[in-house]
Amino acid sequence: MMIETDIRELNERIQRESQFIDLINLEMSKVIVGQKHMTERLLIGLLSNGHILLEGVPGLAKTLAIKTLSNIIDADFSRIQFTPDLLPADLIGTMIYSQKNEEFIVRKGPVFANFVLADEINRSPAKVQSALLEAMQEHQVTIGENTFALPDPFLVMATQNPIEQEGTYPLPEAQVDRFMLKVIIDYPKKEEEKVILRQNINKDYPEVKPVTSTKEILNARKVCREVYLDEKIENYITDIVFASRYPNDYKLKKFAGLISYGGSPRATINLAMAAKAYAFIKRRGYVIPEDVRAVAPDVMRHRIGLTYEAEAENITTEEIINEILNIVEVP
Amino acid sequence: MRYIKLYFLTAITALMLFSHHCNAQDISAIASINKDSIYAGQPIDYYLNINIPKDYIIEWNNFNDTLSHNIEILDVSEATEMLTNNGKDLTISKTLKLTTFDTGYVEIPRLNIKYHKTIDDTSTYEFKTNILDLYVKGVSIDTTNAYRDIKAPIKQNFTFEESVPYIGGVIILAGLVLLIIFLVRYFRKKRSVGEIEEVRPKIPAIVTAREKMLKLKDANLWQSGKLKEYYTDLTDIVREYLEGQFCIEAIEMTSDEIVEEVKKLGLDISTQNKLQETLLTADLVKFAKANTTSTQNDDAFSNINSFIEDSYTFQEEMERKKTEEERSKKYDFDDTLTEQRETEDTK
Repeated sequence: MMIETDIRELNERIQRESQFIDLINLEMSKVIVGQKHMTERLLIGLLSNGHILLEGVPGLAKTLAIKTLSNIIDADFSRIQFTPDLLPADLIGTMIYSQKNEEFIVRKGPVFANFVLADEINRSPAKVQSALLEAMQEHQVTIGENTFALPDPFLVMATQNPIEQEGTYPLPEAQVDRFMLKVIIDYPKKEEEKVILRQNINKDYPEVKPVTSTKEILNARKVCREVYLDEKIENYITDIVFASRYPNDYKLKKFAGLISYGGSPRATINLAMAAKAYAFIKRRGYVIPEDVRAVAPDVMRHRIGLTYEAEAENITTEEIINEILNIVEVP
Repeated sequence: MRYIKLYFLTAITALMLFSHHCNAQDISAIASINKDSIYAGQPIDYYLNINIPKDYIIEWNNFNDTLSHNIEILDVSEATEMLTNNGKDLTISKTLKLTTFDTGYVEIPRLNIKYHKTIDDTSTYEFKTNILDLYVKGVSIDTTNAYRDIKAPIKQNFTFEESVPYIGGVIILAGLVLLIIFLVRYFRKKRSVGEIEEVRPKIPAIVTAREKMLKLKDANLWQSGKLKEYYTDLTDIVREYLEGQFCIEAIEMTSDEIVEEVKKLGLDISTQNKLQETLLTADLVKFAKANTTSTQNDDAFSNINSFIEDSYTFQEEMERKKTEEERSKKYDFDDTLTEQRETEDTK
């Protein structure tokens, strides 16, 4: 069998360029026990230049995972704890008056880093969330009269927990859409929990060392973009997104009254990008339907709006996505 | 003799006294009541006896609600007639049921009775009845006792006669409902009879798969450079076959998922591998622009063909074994039952 030259070359390049994936996984597994799904999604976000929203109950190593990833990549990392009294200037920076120079100088905020951990993003009011989300979208920040580009790679990983909703500011749908993936983190398995227990009792915290650089990540991103996406896969992706918008056209009449809005064009783009990144992680130079199916729940989860009827019937977006994936024909 | 004289004298005096009740032709109208005194509202019978020559015609009054301003008519009976005086006269009787609510002495007035001497007589004559007095008593109130509530209305038993209209209504309603149901069914049946659709027998998945494989072979797709279409059709055939034959929803599954599901069927490894290899090759062709050789294309075809045939044979074999096992179990059970009966008979 002859795979076309460009794809064969791409496969070879991916084999070369993706070696750091194993190293990252190895280093991550030293600190993070289990949570393979979360680690994999962090890598997808890193490779496809997409921001990630992590949701899970407290104590599931969300913050630790992101911090560890930044240590492994040898990149700038900043952590911002979102609180109700946080101001946009605390995030992006501000102009301060220098008495020595007798002029206003720019003091950059913590957003100027490769990896920004926005911890408990829903605890700050909308003006702070907007400031961050603008930076996420434009990859630049304007302070006073000056516009500053954010470092590359720039990845925001925000966390929120599904409990303690009192006094929080839930992210509006338009802003949630800016996140490429919304990853739901679940409890570790029993065996994993035992390992966590032993590690913490013995205070045996392994040190992680940088195994890759931002330059290598940027190169990998280029290769990732070149991963071949056949027209059949494009059709498959659009079918999935359209099924979320027009369920009646896809034998999903039962969901017609339950979906208030479906995936946006950004969902289509992100689904394709995430599928490419997933194929890259799996060392393939082409996307297969398995890749799309693997990332679809994380890409679509926060992009499908449910009606009051759906909420009353306890129907979740996960159920809708699963049904869509079970109905849409695989090419 | 003296007594006889007295009798005649009394009779003549009486005739002179009651002469105003009669006219020359022996016409009389006497009114009487069954009670002289009643309680307010209590009914009394008012008898009217008229004596006229038999040819005379009485023109009866219209007895409406009242006889006078304070006497109410409750009921009026039919008039009864009787010939008297050797068939020369006619005695007519009529009873009116009256009541009054005024207390004290109440006068029942005279009634004017009109008559004609013959049927053809246009002239109207009249005579009057006598006046009657009636004493009406009120209800005495016992002020020494405490006040009591007004008595509740007397409950009357619901008789069968009273329930007849309701029963009839229910029967009519039920009849209407049954009629509507009958009509709806009748028209539905009529419509469905008119719209008979052609029922086609379900073609077994193996037959469809065989037919499609033959068509694919005849289409010469890969020979004409349509490699992607060839592998798409090939995988579609096997997916549809799996759905029809084994109820695996393969059309909506990825290659890996199909392989996982097929593993559960218990087919031998070589059959599973044939499918897995072909699906992998097909994925490469479909999604990675892979170019396969003619040998590989033929191999893919024969792999899918033999997978379909082998899996079908395997399933047939499994079903046959299952039927045999069930049958043998049944025979074993029958034998045991027969043995038990024989043992019981021997005992």
